[in-house]
Amino acid sequence: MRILRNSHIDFLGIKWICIGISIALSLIGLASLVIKRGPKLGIDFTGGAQIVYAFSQKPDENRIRTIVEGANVKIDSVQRFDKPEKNQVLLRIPMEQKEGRDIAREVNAALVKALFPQGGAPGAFDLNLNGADLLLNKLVAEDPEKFAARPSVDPKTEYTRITQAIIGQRSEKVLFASVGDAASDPRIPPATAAWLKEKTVAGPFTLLSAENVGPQVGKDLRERGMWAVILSWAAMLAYVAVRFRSLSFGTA
Amino acid sequence: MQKPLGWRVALTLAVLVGSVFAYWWRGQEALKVNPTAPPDPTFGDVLRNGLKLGLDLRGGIHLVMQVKTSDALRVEAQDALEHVKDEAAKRGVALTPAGPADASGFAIAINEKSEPTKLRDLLKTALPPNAWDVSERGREWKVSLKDAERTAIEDQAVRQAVETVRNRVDALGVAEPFIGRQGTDRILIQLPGVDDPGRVKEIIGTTGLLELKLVDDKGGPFSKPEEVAAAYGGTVPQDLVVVEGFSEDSEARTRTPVYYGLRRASVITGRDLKNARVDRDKFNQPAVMFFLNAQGAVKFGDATGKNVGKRLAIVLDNRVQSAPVINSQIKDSGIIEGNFTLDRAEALTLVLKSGALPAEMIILEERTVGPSLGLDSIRKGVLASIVGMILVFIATVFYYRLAGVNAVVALILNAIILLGAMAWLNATLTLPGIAGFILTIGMAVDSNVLIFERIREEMDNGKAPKAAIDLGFKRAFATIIDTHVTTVAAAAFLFQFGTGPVRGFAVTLVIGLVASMFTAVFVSHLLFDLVYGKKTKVEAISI
Repeated sequence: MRILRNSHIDFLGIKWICIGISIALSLIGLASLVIKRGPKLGIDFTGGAQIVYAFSQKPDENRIRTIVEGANVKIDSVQRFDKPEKNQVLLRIPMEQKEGRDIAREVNAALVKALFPQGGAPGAFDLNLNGADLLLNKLVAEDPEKFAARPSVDPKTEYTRITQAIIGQRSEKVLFASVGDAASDPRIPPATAAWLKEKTVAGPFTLLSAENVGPQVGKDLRERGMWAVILSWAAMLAYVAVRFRSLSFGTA
Repeated sequence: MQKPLGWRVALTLAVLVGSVFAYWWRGQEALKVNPTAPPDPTFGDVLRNGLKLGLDLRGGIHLVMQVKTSDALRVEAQDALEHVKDEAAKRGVALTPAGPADASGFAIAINEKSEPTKLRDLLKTALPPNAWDVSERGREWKVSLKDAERTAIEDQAVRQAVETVRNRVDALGVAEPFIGRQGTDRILIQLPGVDDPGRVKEIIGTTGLLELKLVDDKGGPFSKPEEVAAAYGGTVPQDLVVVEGFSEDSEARTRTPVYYGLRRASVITGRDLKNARVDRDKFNQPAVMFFLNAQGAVKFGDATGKNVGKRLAIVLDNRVQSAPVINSQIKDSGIIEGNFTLDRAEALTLVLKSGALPAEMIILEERTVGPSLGLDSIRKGVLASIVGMILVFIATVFYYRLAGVNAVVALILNAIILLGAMAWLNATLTLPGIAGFILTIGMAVDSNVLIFERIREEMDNGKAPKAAIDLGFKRAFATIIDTHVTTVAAAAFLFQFGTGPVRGFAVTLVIGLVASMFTAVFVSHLLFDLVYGKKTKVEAISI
């Protein structure tokens, strides 16, 4: 199959039309840049924070905004993210002028306090917010399977395997709907399953990602990006210049 | 014209087998060092472990932290000032500091009682040579660090911070961490697989400066900082510092700040520690027990022996944790109480064991990717790659018939070589890297299109099919080189200026471009020759 049977188009013959189209397209591009005030920059270049959470129920964006603002964190937008049934929320937070504020931690603490106070209580262990390390420590310390009494097994190895089953399952599911959900996996032995149900809780949300770019790094990334573009253009121009002056026209 | 086929077939097969072997070998190796790998890995396990995944796909934490080197400079200036004061007292030279030392140095007030010659001599002999500049200006002499010395101290502080962070990360048991210095005062920390950003940031970022200081007899605690000064008749004496602590109401679960007047000189600091572990206090609350080294034990025993009945404040990062009364002489161990949770006590133990940071660190950049998001990205990336490849296959076969099949074989080989080379070089696959993979497929098929169009053109010009194939490859080659060289140039600059994930894109792209040069030009030509080469006369080719 062929679409263009005769590919010898006389471009030079219609050069004014071609030049006209090029100029017109460039002008449209420029005009769009002026009207929209430049391209929309990501946080790599502007600085600021972006935090994505996944909720087990449909999240209430306004409530989240109120909670975060109540914790003295400025907020640009709270948006639903990805497919609606995934219950994900993206928080955009403007850049702090002062370097070093740990926005992600403050937002997290505020959300836990407001949406799941029992998860922040002393002794409580939220399966959806804590990591594998802490779960492993807690399992080894409390030893629900009584591995320590058995000389033939190393409790740490056994609990590492169990922890991985639990956390691996959470990674698949994004977050646990309940502790029963976490305990239902066949790889989890019954005593641990009972322990999970009794000693842990499953909060209503989990952190998917957090990015925070401060003023210094933002400036750095802007400069590096600019240099990458300028230098690669220069390299391509140089290559084309060398290549088409000496080689191509000689062999053609 | 009959061209040799043997070595070309052999080379192609060698590359194919080599790539598959490299990937398989890397998968096995990765499983060997992975402590959590299943005991008898399946085919799928090896397949999944062939490529090293970047933080964005695997989940983990990327931090850029800045070491506040001014802290280290201030400590240096403070030490120097203390030393000069001691020397002045010993030699009987009158000396009044003009305020506390800061990062730039310290200043000495000059008044009627000052003896410039003696002072000058004191500063010259008491301070290490070639480290300090003294500028004598009117009523204040400024003593400041020389630039070279300053740089050396800053450099030392950052190096020590890197070392301390490394100790803490090792104690956390993170597999394959990256901790490195970036520029003058930054540290890049990458911890793949870590899914608890809050805890990790706390452990890495806590300064962990432990100081044990005696509470002055009139030192409180008071509920307001001004009351400390009031207890001394308006101004706090120079050898005391006011430090905040808290008093706890265990029933109401509230903490109210209180203020202590502490002796400025520490009895012992974290440097005198030998070890620390989690223990329980008398209320069975988690607490941290510390053990002193020989030198520290002597100092501690001496100070506690002389001050029985007084209070000793345990100051952590400039906050009083507790201020128990010394009941009897204590020699080589002590306990830090402060109503900790078990996790907090464990974190503090780890921090104390790894030593204090030489200066405060702040977070300049943080990127945390949770494990479920990484998994989701991998799934989406793999799906996009497969769908993209299948669409390209359909379009090519539809448009170029049998020659399209040739291109498809070349593309599949291209993908295998790319994966094998990535595994062999232990290059990291990132989310943009997957985009680089798809772009590579596009570039490879673009090369095939250039070649096939050229062959068609040659046939239109009346060339015999076999001659047209050879000419097509020959003439399209220059164009293919051009597109590849320019793209490699762009990728090189992306690698030079980009950060982690973008670098992954550049690496994948360059490897893919090299592979596509090989498959589109060399393998594709070979396939044509294999199909049409044996026949002496080819009437037409399917293109």
